Amino acid sequence: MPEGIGESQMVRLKNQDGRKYNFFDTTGDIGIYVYGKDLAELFANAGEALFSLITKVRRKKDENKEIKLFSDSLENLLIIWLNELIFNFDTYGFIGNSFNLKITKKKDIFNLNSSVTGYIFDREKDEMGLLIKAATYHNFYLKETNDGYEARILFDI
Amino acid sequence: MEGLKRLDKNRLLVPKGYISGMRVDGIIYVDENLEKYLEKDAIRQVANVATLPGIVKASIAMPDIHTGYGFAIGGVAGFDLDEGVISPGGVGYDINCGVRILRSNLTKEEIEKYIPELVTTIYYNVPSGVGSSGKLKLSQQQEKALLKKGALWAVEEGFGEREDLLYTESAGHLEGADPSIISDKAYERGKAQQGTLGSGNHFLEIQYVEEVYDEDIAKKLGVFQNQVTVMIHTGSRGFGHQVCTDFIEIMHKAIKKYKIEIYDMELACAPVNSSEAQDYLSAMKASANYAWANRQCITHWTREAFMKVLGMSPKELGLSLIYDVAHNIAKIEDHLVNGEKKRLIVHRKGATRAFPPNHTELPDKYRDIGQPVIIPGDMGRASYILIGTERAMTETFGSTCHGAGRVLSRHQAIKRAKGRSIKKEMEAKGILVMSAGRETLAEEMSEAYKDITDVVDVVHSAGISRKVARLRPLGVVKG
Repeated sequence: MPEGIGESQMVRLKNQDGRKYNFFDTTGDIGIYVYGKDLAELFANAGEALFSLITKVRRKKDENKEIKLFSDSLENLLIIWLNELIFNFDTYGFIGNSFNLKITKKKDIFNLNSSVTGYIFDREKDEMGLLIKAATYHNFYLKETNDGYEARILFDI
Repeated sequence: MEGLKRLDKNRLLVPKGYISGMRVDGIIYVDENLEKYLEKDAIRQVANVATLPGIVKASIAMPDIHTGYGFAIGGVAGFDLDEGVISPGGVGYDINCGVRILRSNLTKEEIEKYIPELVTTIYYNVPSGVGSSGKLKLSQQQEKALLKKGALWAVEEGFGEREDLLYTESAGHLEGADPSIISDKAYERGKAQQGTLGSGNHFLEIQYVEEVYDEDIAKKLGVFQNQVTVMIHTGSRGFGHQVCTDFIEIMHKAIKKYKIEIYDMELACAPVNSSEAQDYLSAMKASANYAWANRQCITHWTREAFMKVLGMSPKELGLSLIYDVAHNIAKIEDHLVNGEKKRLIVHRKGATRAFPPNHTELPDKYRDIGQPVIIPGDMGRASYILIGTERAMTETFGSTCHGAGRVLSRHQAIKRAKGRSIKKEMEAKGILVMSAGRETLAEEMSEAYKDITDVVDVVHSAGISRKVARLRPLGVVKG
């Protein structure tokens, strides 16, 4: 294989049989269409898609992050969730590979309670993919579909 | 392109009315050659910016324009201080992403055989790539001092010379950065990333001067044919990304509070005089200072690498800063609007300041020639040194392009590179590359970008900056 060129990303693009997420790209950046039968699954799949852009995610599980977030809108909750994961990678090198999360609504506030398991990125061992600066609101949507939920998020690379 | 009108050889008009709510026209600097790359989404973004309150003159875009989020990349917009807004999306997540260039006393022939060792030494001396942390681990106290002082902090810590500050835009620090506004998260994210290059299109290049277009100005910049130069392209790293992330959320609340209508949520903004906008401005300044300190630290380690590999003294090497410019920033500046001097907040997102001769913000040495402008190209073609002009001042708020601008998305580039060795192709062209990332070289290959020469030719021909010299890479460190 030529230097600097990995196959994994291209292969992933083609094999979206489970339709957990699909990638799309613009000239400058990369985004995801993400699907879930319920909100918890949608959020988990979005997290999985995000980490898969950063590295080839391993199965190792020796780190855990408890993440609690709230917002008055689901749309905002999804963006701040992804930005929280980006923060955890960029600051602590945390890569999540198992997402246990619950989304509840109390009065007009949506609450996200999650336990994310994974490991700390190792520059010597781990594949370096994309450096993701943030999840953006550009042409973003989160909608209900016949199968559950779907969202489109563009990342700033 | 439908709905647009060609004003002249180098400019397209996006007329008021292209979309509803435009307060001013849009003007895109592209000739017919580059027009073929113009994306509909990018035009739409130029038009969206024109709808923001208090925008003056025009929503402008440079020839390296491509679709971004909020503002198009290559966008410039000036806003009235009383009626206008500040938008974090007009600066971007990588606050004060910018580029600096160092001259040297060396010629290409003198260092050619040392390039592999130089590139390797720099690669290990300057942390780069995804998940990298720097050699500096800052306490919050140190980080606060850095956020206030910018490049001066780095110089006081022993990273570089005081003279470097003279040749950095805004002397490498913006006054008015208030560390108390910065979130704990930004502190946390920034503490291990000072002194790191990053990834993507950020790079450190050893280059040589391939062609000089303006001998007089080149001489005043200390630039000569075949001379070795070093270019550093990076920004405020995770610190700036977090500041932007934090403030986009604050601005979303602000647009509801101040009843501002926007077409794109990444254009969220607040009136200049609001507390939200002033807090952002202060945090943006802190991020800009973080970036200037970052480029200053990297400069120091680059000089060390040259000294080590070539066994030469700093004086013999003569690695001195020509200039350092920001290309993602918002600044308060004076400009002429309808013949009247007005104080504006100018947003440059993927655009470079290009002030003319005699501008008060220029160092004495450059007062009579204008501001040096540094335009990085892709890793396989060239980069340019330009000089600022009066025309830029009257037409583009003293701004010009910032780089080549992508034409291929990352996946398209990776697809195009399949079965090829970009590293070997570069070596065949006499350019040695080292990169940490899995697909960085494919994503960053020349074909993924517009030809920098085409872009520079437009700004030169339009007169918003003038060509001084073309630089060709010899060795490249990529994240």
